[in-house]
Amino acid sequence: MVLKYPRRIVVATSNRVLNYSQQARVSQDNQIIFDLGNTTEITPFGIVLLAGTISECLSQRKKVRYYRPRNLQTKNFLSGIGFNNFFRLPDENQKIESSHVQLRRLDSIDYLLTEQIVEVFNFAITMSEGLQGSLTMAINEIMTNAFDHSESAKGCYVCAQAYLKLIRLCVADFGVGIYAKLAPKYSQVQDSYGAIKLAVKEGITTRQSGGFGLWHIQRFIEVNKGQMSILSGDGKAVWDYRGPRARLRKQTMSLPFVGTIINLEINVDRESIYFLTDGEGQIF
Amino acid sequence: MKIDIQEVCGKKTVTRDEGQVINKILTEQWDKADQFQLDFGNLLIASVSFIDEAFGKLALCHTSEDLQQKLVFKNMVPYDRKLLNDIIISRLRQQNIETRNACRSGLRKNGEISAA
Repeated sequence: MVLKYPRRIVVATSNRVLNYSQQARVSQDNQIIFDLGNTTEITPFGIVLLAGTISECLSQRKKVRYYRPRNLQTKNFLSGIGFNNFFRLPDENQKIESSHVQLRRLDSIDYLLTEQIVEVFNFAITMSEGLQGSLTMAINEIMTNAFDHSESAKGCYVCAQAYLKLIRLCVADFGVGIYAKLAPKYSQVQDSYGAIKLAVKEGITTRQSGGFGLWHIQRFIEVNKGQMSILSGDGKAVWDYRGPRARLRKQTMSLPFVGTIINLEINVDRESIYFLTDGEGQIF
Repeated sequence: MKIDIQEVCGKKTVTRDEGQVINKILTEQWDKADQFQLDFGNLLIASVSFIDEAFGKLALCHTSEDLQQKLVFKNMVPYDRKLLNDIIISRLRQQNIETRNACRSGLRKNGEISAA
């Protein structure tokens, strides 16, 4: 099977690239070719998805071939964010970029990685210590979800990119997805999109406590006028606060993706100071 | 029970290890003391690590009401008070049966509460 990837492997082309990912995972072919020859733009979303899909195929003992992008900039970007290193691909021009969070697969919570992610955020925006601590906890909760909720033994994939005036962070797991986890507990959930929307509400969790990670991050993204996309099953929800009017976009994937992807786009903004509001409560 | 932060910690009010000194006193005396009067002498701490370790982690073990009843923060600069509230509220959210059981069993490892 040859998967010829499009020019752009980004959230906007997720229907196609998630379709490729599912095809590769369920294919009976012994060999899968990931051809990125034409690709000129790939974001952390594409990188974690590609890395996870290739890893899944390798674990199924499929033969995998990977054609690098011909575009030099894209090729260097993949190298700089640690994609080649992740698969131990020979790389003459490997230069790890410190402004990125390198592509990683995690089997359990890695507090140092969370600190590193918050550090990259902190480089881009001025945050109060309180918000840094709170964001750290929110990111930890997202990752805990990836391990606990997803029932995925394959862990989760993470990477982040600081690019011009934007930070992109993506966390993906190849587990059972949000709908499968929430539907037994919340009868009002009808489909993947509904499950995603519910998961972002305050206090929604299948653990004994928690349910604040996505809710907290969504509020942060709203203030930052950024974007949060969650893809799981055949559902895709995008909270887009970039324009004058905030909106929630819905999309239904042509082929359900088994797993969950959370993609954040945060504006670099060193002018404002971000901190938790008094509305959070003052107990002392 | 009165605790003078400057007297106990001196200038060591930055790291988690330093925060643990205060946390240890509070944890050991929690059931014995009716109230802890923590006097900061208007010293600016501004360290999430210190405050989280010293006080934030108590919120993994106790309710908001218990904390309010037991802890009195005196002469604390507004920035630190805001930081303290941020951290305590975040930690209260994290509290669950596991963290509470771990507190009760006294299972603490490297400053982190481990599951019982």
